[in-house]
Amino acid sequence: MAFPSLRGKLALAAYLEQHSDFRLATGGSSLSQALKQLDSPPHQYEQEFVRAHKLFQRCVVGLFLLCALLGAMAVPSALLGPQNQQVNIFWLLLILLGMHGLNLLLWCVSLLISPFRNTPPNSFLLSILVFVNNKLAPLLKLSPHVSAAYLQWQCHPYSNKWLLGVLSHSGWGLYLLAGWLMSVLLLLTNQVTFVWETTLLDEQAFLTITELISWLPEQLGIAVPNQLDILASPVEVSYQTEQTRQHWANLLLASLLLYGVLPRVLGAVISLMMLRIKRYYLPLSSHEQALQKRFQSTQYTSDIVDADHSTADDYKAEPATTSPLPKQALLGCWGLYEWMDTQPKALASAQSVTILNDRQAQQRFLAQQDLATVYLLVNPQTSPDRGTQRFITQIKQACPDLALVIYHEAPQDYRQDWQQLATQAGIRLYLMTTEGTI
Amino acid sequence: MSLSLLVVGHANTGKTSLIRTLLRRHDFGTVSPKAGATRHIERVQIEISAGQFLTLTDTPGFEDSMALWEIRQSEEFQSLQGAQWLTAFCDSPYAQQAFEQEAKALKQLVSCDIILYVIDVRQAPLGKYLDELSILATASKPIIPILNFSAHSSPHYDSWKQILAQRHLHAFVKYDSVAFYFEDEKRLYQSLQSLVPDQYDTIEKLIKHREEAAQQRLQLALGQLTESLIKLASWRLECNAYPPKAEDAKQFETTVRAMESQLLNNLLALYEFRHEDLQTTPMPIQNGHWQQDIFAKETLKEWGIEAGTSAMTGAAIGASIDVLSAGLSLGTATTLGAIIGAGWKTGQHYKDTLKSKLTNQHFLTADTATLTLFTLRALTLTSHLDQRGHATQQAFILNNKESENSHKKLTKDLSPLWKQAQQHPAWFHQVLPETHPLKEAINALLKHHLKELT
Repeated sequence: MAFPSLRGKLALAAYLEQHSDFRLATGGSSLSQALKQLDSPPHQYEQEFVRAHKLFQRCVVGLFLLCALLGAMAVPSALLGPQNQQVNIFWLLLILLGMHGLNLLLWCVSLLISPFRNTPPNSFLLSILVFVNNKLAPLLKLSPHVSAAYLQWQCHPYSNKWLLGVLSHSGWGLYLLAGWLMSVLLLLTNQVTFVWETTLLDEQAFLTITELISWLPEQLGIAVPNQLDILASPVEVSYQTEQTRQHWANLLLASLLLYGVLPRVLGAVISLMMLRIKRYYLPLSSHEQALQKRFQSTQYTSDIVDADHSTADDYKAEPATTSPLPKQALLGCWGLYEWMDTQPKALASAQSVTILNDRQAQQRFLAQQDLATVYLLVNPQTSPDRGTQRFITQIKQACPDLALVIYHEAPQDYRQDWQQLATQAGIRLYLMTTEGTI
Repeated sequence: MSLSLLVVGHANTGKTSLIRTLLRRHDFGTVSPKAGATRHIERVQIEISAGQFLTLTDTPGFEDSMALWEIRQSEEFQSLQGAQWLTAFCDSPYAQQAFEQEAKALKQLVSCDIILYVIDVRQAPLGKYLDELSILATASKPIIPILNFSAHSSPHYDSWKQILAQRHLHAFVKYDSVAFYFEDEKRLYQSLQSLVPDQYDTIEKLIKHREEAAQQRLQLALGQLTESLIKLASWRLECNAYPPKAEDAKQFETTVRAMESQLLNNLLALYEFRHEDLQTTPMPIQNGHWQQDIFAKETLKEWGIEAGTSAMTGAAIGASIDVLSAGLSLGTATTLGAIIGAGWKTGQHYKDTLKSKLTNQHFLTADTATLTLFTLRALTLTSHLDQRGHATQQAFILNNKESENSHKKLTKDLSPLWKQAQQHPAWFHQVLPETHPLKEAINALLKHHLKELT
């Protein structure tokens, strides 16, 4: 699978957004398209991310090789020690399997207690890696942000214990496998006498220990030391039969494989599977989720199905200037156009006041024969529309002395539109207050 | 399957704004305080699931429905019903001249499933609006009246309710395209469910999807705020003197402002708003003197656990060396390993305090007042964005006028958590897992305070 995956790129972008000046451009068609920005000049974040990954892989390979080398080196010194011909079998098993057993036990315990830990499980490894990274990043010409983002991504708290498991089991597995191979090689080319010795324990203890260790190899049909072989192998015995030597050698090699290599291989496989699963279901951080969400709005598609082809120009007339309302106007004939409030008190003495809020009222008003001067009061909180224009044109035909009056007490949101309408219609324009005139 | 909703209404009642708010997108159509901003028919499809769409069609507003109704009543069209009259009118010369905009909307009435009639509830039910309702009724399609701008009470609400009831339009929806409330949107979809029962499940899916999206947005916003807070609280600036020199104090302020700006921009992006939707006043910033709380219970506890773990790891590595040397090193490597392991962690834990003492270096950190204000401002913005309609034209002004009471309560609740973060400078470079106790605690408190703000 190509590296980095979309998820990896997302983690890199989220880290960079949080810790540097890098910002993922919005408005892209998709997240994958937007993430291409990671490798567009002047930045080469993605390439650096890949380099960091390769470096990490090389470090892991180096670690494994070191483990194998240590394993191969441990056996000759233990097997062909100062007493070249005699090998203390239990001491040898302790050297080769003791630490491995202790480490395996620690790993199991840490696995069991990990759900109860408060500190992030990656803190120790990550703090060492961050420390090393800070020292090495300038030498490796890697952006500190990219290498830090890579470490956060690679050693994600959600999956890190399994990464540690893979590294630990594989390392120990290779150490033990190399030790086993070296043991086979040495036992093929050297004749050694396997002995046991003790100060505190008695013979019975060794019999029991040997029986316990031998049980599994015996089940697999491997010839292991019997009681006679054990009794014939204390340190003071100077001669050992070939069969006894082979039985002890079989036990040594089988123990290394069955109690050493095999559990480590199993551990590595389980850890690798868990690592894959955990990394597949890696939870997104808040910032990663937010980045992902930025590009999820493509589920909408919009189109214009009936375009505007109107040729009518948007010419707006000059707004007419307003004059204060003459006092005698308050005694005239008034029409309250689309009037939603209470009737102004100033119109209490008016000759007539008609509310013009619906078609019937407007038609009745237009049908009046005795219209001389009409004052049309409007509220500038609402906008005049084409219906208003039509009505004013009609009323002007019925009554040439028409005046438009803007009510000054209301919010003046659309006052300019009414002023323009007055200019277009060629009518006088007044301003009216609660008292009537200013 | 596609459910087609036609959004109609008088000019300037907020039809395009309604669609923008439903989509939570500011780039749909044209919104203007001037009447008649929309002069075309624009359709948007929301994908509910594979092959299932909800179509919203925006239309130009009615401007002269009284004259239009008179035409409808004229001899020419009186005898025609439903789609017949609509088609006949749209083919007539009226549709090419004065009523071109209205004809565009009427043409769409034929093909839509449901009509959403948008009403500006701040205006009284004038005759022209009633004529619009009469015209729409001729299409014989279900109508859902949307009482727009309902966030504030209107003196005309009862009149509208009565008028709509007289026309058997009992199932209306209160909405506000400027102040968005998900419950209003939900009620709109529920009304659709009652009108088209055969598509109940599809609409239910849409409601669920929208509800989840709204919850996720809020959760993400709080998550980002939590992360930013941990970063700010754990961040320190190294300087040579305390009180700091002017340039150090300025650098400190610049960095904190940059952190705030980044958070606010992220919140805007999360809620799909633009930079121009927010105006910020500068936040007053105060720096504090970072000091390690050596004997704090948490610090000691963590040091104990970490040093113990490291000592064990070191001892295990050392023991393997001892074993490899066949016991000749007599456990020296094990002992050394344990000491190095514990020492490494102890050094890491207390190195800054030691360094500060030995080299006379100081660390500046955000003080409680700054952290509180940072939190309050971000919470205020989150609360606003969560309920801001995408048609809102006015920018939100983020200032520092938060109430003294909420300030005190927030400080009291969050101070212990900030102190904890301040003791972990490494957290500035890390992204703590979502299940981290500190993150969970801050998140829960922010959620609680956000509820109080709203």
